Amino acid sequence: MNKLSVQKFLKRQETIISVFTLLVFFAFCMLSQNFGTDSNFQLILQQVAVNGICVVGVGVVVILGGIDLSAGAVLALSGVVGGMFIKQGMPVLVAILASIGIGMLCGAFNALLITQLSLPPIITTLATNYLFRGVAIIITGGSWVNNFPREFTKYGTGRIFGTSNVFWMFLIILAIVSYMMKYMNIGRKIYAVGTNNDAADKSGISCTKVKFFGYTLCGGIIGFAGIMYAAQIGAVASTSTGLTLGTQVLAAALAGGISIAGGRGTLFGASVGILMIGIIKNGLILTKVSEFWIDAITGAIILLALALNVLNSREKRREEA
Amino acid sequence: MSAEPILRTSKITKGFFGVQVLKGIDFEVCPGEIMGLVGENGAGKSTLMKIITGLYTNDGGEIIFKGAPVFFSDPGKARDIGISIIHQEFNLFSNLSVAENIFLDRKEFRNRLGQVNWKKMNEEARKVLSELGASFDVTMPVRMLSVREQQLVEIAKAVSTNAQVLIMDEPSAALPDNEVQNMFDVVRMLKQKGVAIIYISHRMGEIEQICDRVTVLRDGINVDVLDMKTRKIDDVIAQMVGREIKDYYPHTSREPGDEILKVEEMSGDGLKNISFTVNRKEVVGLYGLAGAGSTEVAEMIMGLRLMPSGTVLMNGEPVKKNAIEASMAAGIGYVPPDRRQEGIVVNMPIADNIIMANLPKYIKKGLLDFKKIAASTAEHIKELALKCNGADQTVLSLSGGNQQKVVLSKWLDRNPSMLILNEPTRGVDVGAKSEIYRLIDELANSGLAILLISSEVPEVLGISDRVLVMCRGRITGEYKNENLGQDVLLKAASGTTGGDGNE
Amino acid sequence: MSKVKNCISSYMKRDGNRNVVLLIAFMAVQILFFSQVTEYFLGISNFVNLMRQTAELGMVTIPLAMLILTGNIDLSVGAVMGVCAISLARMLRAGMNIGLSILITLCIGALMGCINGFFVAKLHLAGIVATIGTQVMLRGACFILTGGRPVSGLPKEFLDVAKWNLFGIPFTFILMIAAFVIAIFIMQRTSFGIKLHAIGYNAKASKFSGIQSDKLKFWLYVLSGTVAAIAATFMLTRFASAESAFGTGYDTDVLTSVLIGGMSIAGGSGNLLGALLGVLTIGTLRNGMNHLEISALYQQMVLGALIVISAAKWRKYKA
Repeated sequence: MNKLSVQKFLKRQETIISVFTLLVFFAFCMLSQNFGTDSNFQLILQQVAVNGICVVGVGVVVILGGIDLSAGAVLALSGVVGGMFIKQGMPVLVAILASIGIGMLCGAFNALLITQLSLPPIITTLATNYLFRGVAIIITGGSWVNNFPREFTKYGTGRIFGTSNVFWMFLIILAIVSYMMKYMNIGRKIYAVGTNNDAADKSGISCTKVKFFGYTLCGGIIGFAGIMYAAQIGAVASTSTGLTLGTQVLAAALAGGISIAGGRGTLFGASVGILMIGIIKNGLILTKVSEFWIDAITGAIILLALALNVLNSREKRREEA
Repeated sequence: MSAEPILRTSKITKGFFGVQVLKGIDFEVCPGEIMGLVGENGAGKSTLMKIITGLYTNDGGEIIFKGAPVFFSDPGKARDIGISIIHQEFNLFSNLSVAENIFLDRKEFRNRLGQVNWKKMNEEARKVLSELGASFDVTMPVRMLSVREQQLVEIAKAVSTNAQVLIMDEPSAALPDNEVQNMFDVVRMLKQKGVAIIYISHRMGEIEQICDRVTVLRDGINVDVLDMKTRKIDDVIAQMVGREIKDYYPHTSREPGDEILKVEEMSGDGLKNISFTVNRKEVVGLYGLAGAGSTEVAEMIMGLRLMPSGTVLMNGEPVKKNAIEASMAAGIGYVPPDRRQEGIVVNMPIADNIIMANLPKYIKKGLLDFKKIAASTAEHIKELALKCNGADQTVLSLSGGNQQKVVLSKWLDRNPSMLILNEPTRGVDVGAKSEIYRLIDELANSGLAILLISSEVPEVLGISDRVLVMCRGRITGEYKNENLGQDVLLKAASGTTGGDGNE
Repeated sequence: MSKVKNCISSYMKRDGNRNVVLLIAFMAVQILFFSQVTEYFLGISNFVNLMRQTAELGMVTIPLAMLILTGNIDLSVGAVMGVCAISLARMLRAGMNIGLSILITLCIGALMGCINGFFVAKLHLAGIVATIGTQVMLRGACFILTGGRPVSGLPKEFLDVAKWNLFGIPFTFILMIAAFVIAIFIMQRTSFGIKLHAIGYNAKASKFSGIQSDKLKFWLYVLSGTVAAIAATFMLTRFASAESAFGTGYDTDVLTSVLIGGMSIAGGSGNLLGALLGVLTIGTLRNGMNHLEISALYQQMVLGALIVISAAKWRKYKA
């Protein structure tokens, strides 16, 4: 029995992706002297923090059986709005709440289209991706929002125990939402709806309500990531911020073991996925591989992780039969 | 028996796509009573139960629970009030654990903040399952369970709600015989506690064994309520069918031709050493309860399912394994059991559905020959008396029987020498049913070999020339259909006769 | 003549034609609007321009529409175009024979299609997942191939292709329309169309009727890759240089055209005439908005709204 549970643990996608990430990490340590240093490690954590926060939100939506391609636009829009609040001299807390609020609105809008017009999530979020970014551009007139006061940027650039503030926030959000997904009734309902929409309806779980909750939560989390992005980078561009975020975060979630069909996988796995992508990007730059290789190699590794995911789940099925 | 019914329906009506499925049903069940609900497929049993549990809304009539009319906007409401159902198709979350599937979204297992008490949940789950005589890891995801265990989870789920009315829709379908008795013990235990149980089944043996009273539905109306203390199961069957069984199943005697299909030592995927033959001009019935493996046999013959070992021979020639095109080329046609998922493409017109399996025939110089398509679909529609507004009509709007005729046409269009029919009359109304039986008879007389897979004994006995019985992946009996009794088949199907079925 | 009429009427009876009618109306309104508010819109040179722009979009739309019809998707089209255009540009600059380099480019496109086909048809990865993966990877390859600098300095004979025309109508546009006519004809008059619809509506029932959907899907992806290579070739003759972002955003444009054309992303319903009209609508809309000096990002917003409206329409139509 014990052996079996060890086996089960080893076969989990989270384990596989973690081992894979560690291997990549050590490989880069060997390849570059600058990679294995403490300061570089801290840099990686800082770089993945914002995307990490986003992956928590998007992960919830994918577990719900949905998809969110509009994440990048929501990040930009909420970042822009929060940033403008700051520029108006509003207290930081108000700006943060405004960003979260905007994000939640965006998420709720997605949910509204998906549940009320019965549009497929992929179409909906593809369209709202344009829409939200358009709104961001209208608000800003297409220009950058930058030159924030120090009182604001210190939240993004500051460090606690040598590690970026934003990374700590990412860990806290990950912990809270993971706890919710595992131990709260609503979390279990999200898994249930993602696993089997019909069965949920028959059991008297309102899929509409659960979807609204999931998408709104996702929006809120990305909204928070948006303002943290502004604080960390010091600038938000309505046209270019988060352009590739949607696909990157989705890829990380899938590589980390969340099933595109919904109902399976954990946020922890997804977070390891985003960490893996961050490590690869950073490592490739440091090993002086031409920077042009970065995307290509990242894409190839993501595909590899996805293929592993599929092959792994296929073996499980055979075991059952 | 207490006289006051806990649940009563009055004049319930319901229609789909303009077809009236329920035509005013009166039904009642008392506390501490096991009420059987029987009827042919399509008689309206499942629809009635879905209305009682709030999954469908009725067009007319009312539901009276404990003397007061009730209305359920969603299934959760019915469950809260004390009406639970075990659906025929599993209603489980494959990714969630056993315990969660039993107790999902239940107030007892979460505090005011909505935190789930996993420890309590797992303990309770273990307790409920052990009451049912089962013991497996409740933290396991349900997708890892066997079909039988999943069924137990379903039962546990319903039992655990302290239901006052429990509806069991074909609860024994997936259970082996020894498990059925265990389930009966549970059902009787619930009865002792005063729960009203509605027991829906096709298996007359079970109905006879466990039910106090039986309500018979036919064509959307309730024909009769029989008290099983004084009436016999034959009365129930007579009421269900509504006419003499003899003319319902046309069966002309014929002399079978030479051997056409030979299956040798087919094994794997739960099957163990399946060998049999089918001759031209012969209807071979393959009888087995759900889970006996007859669908697996059909899909392996057809090349739709990986066949780990064994050979399929057509006319003495081995057929290439795991390739449906090879089986089709060898002259086999397959009418699958799940019509909507496997048989037809509901959004496409009748014509496209009919020619789907035989596209090359309609291609002239690389192009589709629409004249030929129109001519041949018109011919099929006429031949099978398919009721439709024309070949352009989408299959979606046809009745179950006519949809099945489309599937049959699709295969007949290939002029097959052998047809495998898997539950060809499932979800088909009585009229169309006897038409299909007549068609099968005619086809066999014209020289076709037919393998009829069915889990309905009267059907198998009614139209087969020879009967094979399967149980747990083996063939447990082979009989010539001469004065063959139902009991013989039932015994063989539950693995109680010798045959080669001994483990 | 009556034969033609029959063909048309049978075509109009098929699903997805409601969008065709709506799109024609929308086109009319749109053209009227743009011709009123901008002065250059109705000019001949603008129309030639418009045709050039929509030609490549239209070509790529054909295989993608077929893929969507089967319930699959290809989000890597733009990246495949990028890789093809850049490789072609490099080969040409290295002085390789034009015909040979184009041939090799087509092979590259087909190979990319094979990769997608392998993931989807063999490994049974969800189409969206696999092609997002290849998209990231191939876009990376674009950066590698260009080294960050645009590849230009292409031979004149090659660039002259862009000027080919027939009575002033650009050759590529004629080719695109011809391809659409042939594709519609194939979908309509051969068994291919029935197979695609059947797979999209009900993959299992198709399999149970002996239709080999995996094989078909694989070759559709190969076709998609090859056509992307062809489109990239023509686009390169227009642009005269290939940069690493070549073809970016093309996948969403194509997807939008198909969806606006009334095709369901769930597969099965819709038709190619709708897709063609979708392409023309988007082309005209973009062109008109350019004249109104509306920035590309606002244009995206309008397209997004259009997608939602047309997709919502489809849902109601089905119910």
